[in-house]
Amino acid sequence: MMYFIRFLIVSIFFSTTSAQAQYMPITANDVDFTFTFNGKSITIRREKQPNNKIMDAFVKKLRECPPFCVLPMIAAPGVNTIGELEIIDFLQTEVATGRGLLIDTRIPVMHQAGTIPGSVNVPFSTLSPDNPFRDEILMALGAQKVGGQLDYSHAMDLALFCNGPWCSQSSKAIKSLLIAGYPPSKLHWYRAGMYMWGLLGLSVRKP
Amino acid sequence: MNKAVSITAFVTLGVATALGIAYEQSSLNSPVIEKASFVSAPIPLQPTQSPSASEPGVSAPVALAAAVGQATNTQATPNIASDDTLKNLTLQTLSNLNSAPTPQHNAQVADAATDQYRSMTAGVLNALPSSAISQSGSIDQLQAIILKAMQQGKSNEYIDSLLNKAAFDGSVQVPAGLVTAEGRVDTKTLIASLVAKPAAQPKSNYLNMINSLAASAFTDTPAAPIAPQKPQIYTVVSGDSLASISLKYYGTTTQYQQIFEANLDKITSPDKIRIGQKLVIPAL
Repeated sequence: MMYFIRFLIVSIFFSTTSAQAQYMPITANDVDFTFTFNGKSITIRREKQPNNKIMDAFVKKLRECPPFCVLPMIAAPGVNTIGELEIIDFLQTEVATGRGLLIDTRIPVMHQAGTIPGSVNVPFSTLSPDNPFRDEILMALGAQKVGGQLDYSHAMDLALFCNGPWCSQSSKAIKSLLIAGYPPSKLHWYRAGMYMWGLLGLSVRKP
Repeated sequence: MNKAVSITAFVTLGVATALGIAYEQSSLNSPVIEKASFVSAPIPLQPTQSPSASEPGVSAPVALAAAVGQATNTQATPNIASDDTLKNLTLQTLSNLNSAPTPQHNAQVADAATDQYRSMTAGVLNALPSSAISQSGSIDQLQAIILKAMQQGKSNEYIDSLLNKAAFDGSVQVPAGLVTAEGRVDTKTLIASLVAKPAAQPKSNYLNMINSLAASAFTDTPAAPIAPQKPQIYTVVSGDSLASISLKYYGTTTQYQQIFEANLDKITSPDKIRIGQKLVIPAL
């Protein structure tokens, strides 16, 4: 009975405190970040549950290499490597204005299991030169066909990620984009991926 | 035969699921059922439709053995090769699933990979915000194709095939609400919606032609709308799209968004309805 009352008091306490206290600030100045994607308002927060742990799948150390080999800091020459705050900034400035896209390069089942809010799933294999329909995707990203060649001057800026520094899907996607002629200056790589995003307790969305 | 097909699909689905985990040992906390429904979700906009009784060329145990064999190989082979093997296997597996309802193409690896690329590409294009170009504009485009084909006296099967081909080429964008539970363009509803908007072109010759053609080609449309006074439950059947359900209940295809919004707990996107799914139809 005492426990129950204590539980009640605790829940009342938590339900009456402000959003500020329910979430861990992301930076010293910001509790959360909000942006608009596809006409919907999305807020990225950092959870504050003392007992929450990272998903089991990310806990293990043993990952067989190959294929799960440790990747370098730079995916390709001219492609910027970025972190969480840059991802959030990219969402707010580029994605929200339609000038850029945050791309989850993982296979669809993984994307569905949980992804960064505001990302879209473009599985790395769909960008491969083996995909006969690849150019359709590139054109949807803003490339234009000029005399049989793809022109990228109006193509969107892309930030790409997958699971983490052992996951080659995003760097494969970047290499495929470069093969297709995408300018490296329009590409950004979030190397730490879903692993670090989850470890930091940042918002994850199930599409 | 259908049973064999579905068993193959089920077994290969299990393998695909296992592979998803094997590939990256990722955060797959959701139950298998969820993944199963997703795996069949990429929209295969196949240009042709054939309800023939052919079956995938591989039996369930063989497919399983082959899949397991390949999956095991990936442990030993080098990075790129293993990924490619895995990718092809995934593609083929998914493709087998997608082809189960319309198994016109045989289980040749090349075709299967192409089909898979096609459906994955369609899925990507559908997910990209830039492909959500003006929906009314794309409906007009689809209707223009129908009008032209009807003028030429083409059959409804031809028109259906034509629209699916155009959708697959990317020469038209299909609004998500006009994709059926099977992942095809809902030609029937498109034609019905043409018939249902006579106000736009009251004296058009096209319209008379469409009216008579639609009446003969699709005898079960358009029926009088049900116009529900209170929310109802509707079970999705083969050939349904959200637009066709909207037409059935409200007499117009344009209310599909409302049905979609009433079922956000079940449908992630208007083109991802499943046969047997129970949808809430709100009163207008």
